[in-house]
Amino acid sequence: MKNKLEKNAALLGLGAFLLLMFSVTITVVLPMLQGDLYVADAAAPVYDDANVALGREIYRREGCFYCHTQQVRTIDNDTFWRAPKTELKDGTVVGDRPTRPGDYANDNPALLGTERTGPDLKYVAHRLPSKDWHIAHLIDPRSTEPNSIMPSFAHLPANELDALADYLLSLRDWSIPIVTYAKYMGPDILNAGDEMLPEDYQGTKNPYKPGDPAALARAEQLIKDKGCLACHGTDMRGKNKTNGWANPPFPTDWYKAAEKHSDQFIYWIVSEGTLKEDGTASGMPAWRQNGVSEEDRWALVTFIKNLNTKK
Amino acid sequence: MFSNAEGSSSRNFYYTAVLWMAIGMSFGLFAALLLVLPDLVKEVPILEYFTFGRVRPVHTNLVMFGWLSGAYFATLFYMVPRLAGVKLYSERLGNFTVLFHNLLMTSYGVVLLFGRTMGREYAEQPWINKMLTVVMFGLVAYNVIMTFATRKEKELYVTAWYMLGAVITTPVVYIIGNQFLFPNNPIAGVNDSVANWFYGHNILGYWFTPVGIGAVYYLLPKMTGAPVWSHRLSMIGFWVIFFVYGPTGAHHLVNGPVPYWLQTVAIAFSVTLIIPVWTVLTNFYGTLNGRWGAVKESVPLKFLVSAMVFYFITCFQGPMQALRSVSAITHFTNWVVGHAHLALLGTFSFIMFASIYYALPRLTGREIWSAKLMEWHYWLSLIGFTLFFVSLTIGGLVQGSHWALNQSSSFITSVIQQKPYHIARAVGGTMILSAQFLFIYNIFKSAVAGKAFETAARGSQAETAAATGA
Ligand code: HEC
Ligand code: HEC
Ligand code: HEM
Ligand code: HEM
Repeated sequence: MKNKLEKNAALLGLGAFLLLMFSVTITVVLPMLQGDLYVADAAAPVYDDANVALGREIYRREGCFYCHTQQVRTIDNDTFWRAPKTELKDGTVVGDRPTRPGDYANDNPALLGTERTGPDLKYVAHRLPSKDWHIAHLIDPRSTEPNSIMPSFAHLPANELDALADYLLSLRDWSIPIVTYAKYMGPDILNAGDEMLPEDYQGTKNPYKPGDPAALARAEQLIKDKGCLACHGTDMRGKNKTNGWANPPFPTDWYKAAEKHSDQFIYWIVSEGTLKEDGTASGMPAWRQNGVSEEDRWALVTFIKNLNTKK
Repeated sequence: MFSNAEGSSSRNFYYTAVLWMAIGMSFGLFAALLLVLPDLVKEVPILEYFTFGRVRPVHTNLVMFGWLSGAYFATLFYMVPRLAGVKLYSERLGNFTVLFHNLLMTSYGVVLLFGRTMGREYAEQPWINKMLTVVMFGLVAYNVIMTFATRKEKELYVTAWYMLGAVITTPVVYIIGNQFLFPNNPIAGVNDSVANWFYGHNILGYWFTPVGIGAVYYLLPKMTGAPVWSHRLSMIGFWVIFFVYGPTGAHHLVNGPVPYWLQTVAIAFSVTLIIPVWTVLTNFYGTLNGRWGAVKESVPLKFLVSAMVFYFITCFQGPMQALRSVSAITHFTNWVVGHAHLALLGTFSFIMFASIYYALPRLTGREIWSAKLMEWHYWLSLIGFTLFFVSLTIGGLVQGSHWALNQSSSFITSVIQQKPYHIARAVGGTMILSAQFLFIYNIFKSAVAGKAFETAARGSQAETAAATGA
């Protein structure tokens, strides 16, 4: 048992060092030599936009990645985090898959994350395409989701919140083109009328009678769950510069909307939001894409129209 | 400027390490509270900047590098000279390292509070601090290696093996895993994460594990008066750890966007890690067998025995959660946070408590001031930690199964469900932190008012050789 090795410290140190080099070779050097890991996929985000790049810096600085992952694993458990399945014009189908190395080729650092205290954000812009939503949520997460345990970032300056929101909107599958039925009405939606309705929304009909109590109750619940009032104000009178909203479009006063607009019009805006067609601008989120069913959207319309009867 | 008195650098490292522990754990408790009360700092001037994402890395950096590494340096400077049969090569350099460590840790904390993070877990520091970290590990390695080079005791006891292996490999792991300390991190994409987890895992495998295990091999025979059960087994354990720990980094990315083969290699080696753990545990219980009575009398031994139980659970969990099917549920959940604390708090911090209780009287010539406070320290830590660990483990399973059953839709339900577990963790954390304040008070009182420690029992070199059976 008392062999030479037990007395020779140098040999022992060398042995330990060589064993370490073995693992460096197979688990660091080999993957580094694997060229395909660096080739950017068409789906990979690019950070040309200075505001997006700044947003990413802030995301890192504030440690968002300790609570949010940015990876969709190769198992069913992560299905919800995938980008939506989309057929391109040339017939190829993109989206609806786990992430792969090419999705990260432009990322330094790669913010894969290790904890899911909050949702995965790799494709969050598909679920939540409204910049205003993101800013409202960052300022007070409890306003859009009463049970959230995310910190409030109200102390960040406006330009940083704007950059963060732009960065969050870059978190999508870049091979999926942005298409929306939404239309940006300019600074004041109340001037618009039914003539703007897209074809799919002309002639739709509210299944509920005005003031249907079941619909009203359902809508009240939805308004709480979806955080509508974070933007529209707790009094539902809308927000503007004087009470904490930065830029037009200002969230609409629901009482005025009820007065001016038809059921169909409100149904269209609640369903599709008011994002610009390239998805870049902001405004009202598209609730059709955020887990609010057709029936529920009509319930919301019924609720808003019903405000006409109050004052 | 720097003292050259025998044992002074080890003692000073122990003293400052426990202060970093108090600071680091306070940040941990702060982070835990923020998860329960997310608006705790909202609109409080200045404090509002310290949201969870800023506090958490301060916690992990300070407990891992300020507390645990500081205590490890002290332990090296205490045990290595005794194993080598000589004085520490340079106490003066050792005391310089103490100062260096404290300044660097201050910088660690400040930099992270200001949000200057590199965005890589456990490698958050900017490159200047990384350079300085390598210098710090280098200074310690130099002192340890030179002590061995001038040694009188020719046989190298197994503790010496672990400690030598650790000080030689740790700087290498650090440099490679931090992308050769380049300021701009040349590796992009998923390989950035691969390098990060090579480092993040191996700082555990080549630093926190071997020094801690080495300390157990030193302390156990000392405290029980019996030689290690099997010397050969302990050496097999050494070589297997240094062989199989290394390639397992990718088990932190299981089912993720890294090459499948790399995951498979990591998983296979993770499963093999059962072997070295088993050698340590067999030896531990072999040595203790028939001497369990001693455990009742001695708080340090209680800490060691609990640490070994926790080590067993850690290393049972570890290989399981590396498997693709288990990871599918446990990955990203509080389960992993439980595992991390089980290893670093329940196992290695507990071992350091035992080391401090054993070494300090021998370094200062004064008994530990209050035996009662020692008991309190142990029981509060143990009960607090058990609550902490059990709640996170159950919470993690609840989280993971909710996601599995709903394929991650209705995520917010899983956030709501975590509330009781987050509260229980914060309560456990409060108990642990209170225990450490008692501990620090006890150390302070020992330094100023401890009874003289009997010199006969004082760690002479001859006694070391006898008890370790070398
Ligand atoms: C304490 C952990 C924590 C931190 C830190 C954190 N979040 Fe969150 N985040 C959550 C939780 C929990 C939710 C889910 C509830 C909600 O919608 O607020 C969430 C939700 C989100 C969502 C909505 C995702 C979705 O699919 O509904 C976005 C976007 C987001 N966070 C962005 C950020 C950004 C940007 C930062 C950093 C500035 C950040 N988070 C920091 C915990 C956190
Ligand atoms: C992120 C902030 C935000 C949230 C959350 C939000 N909205 Fe809006 N909403 C807006 C903005 C901004 C406008 C004005 C759009 C414009 O002028 O282009 C608007 C407009 C509207 C309108 C006006 C349509 C009209 O006829 O003039 C209705 C109705 C409406 N929102 C309903 C809702 C409902 C219901 C919810 C919750 C399910 C909701 N909003 C949540 C920002 C928001
Ligand atoms: C009072 C005692 C402690 C409390 C309350 C505490 C609390 C916490 C909290 C809240 C987190 C964040 C978890 C998350 O992201 O969800 C954390 C992470 C962590 N803590 Fe502690 N901690 C304590 C002691 C320690 C000690 C002593 C160590 C090590 C020596 C330690 C090491 C870590 C590590 C490594 C992580 C990262 C875990 C991971 O990423 O999975 N903690 N701790
Ligand atoms: C048998 C040995 C071990 C194995 C196989 C093992 C395996 C693992 C695995 C697979 C993970 C990742 C879990 C996930 O994210 O899903 C993990 C995390 C972790 N392990 Fe271990 N482990 C072992 C022992 C240890 C020891 C001894 C330590 C401490 C010295 C330790 C500290 C940690 C820490 C801190 C993390 C959290 C990392 C993070 O996500 O931030 N483990 N371990």
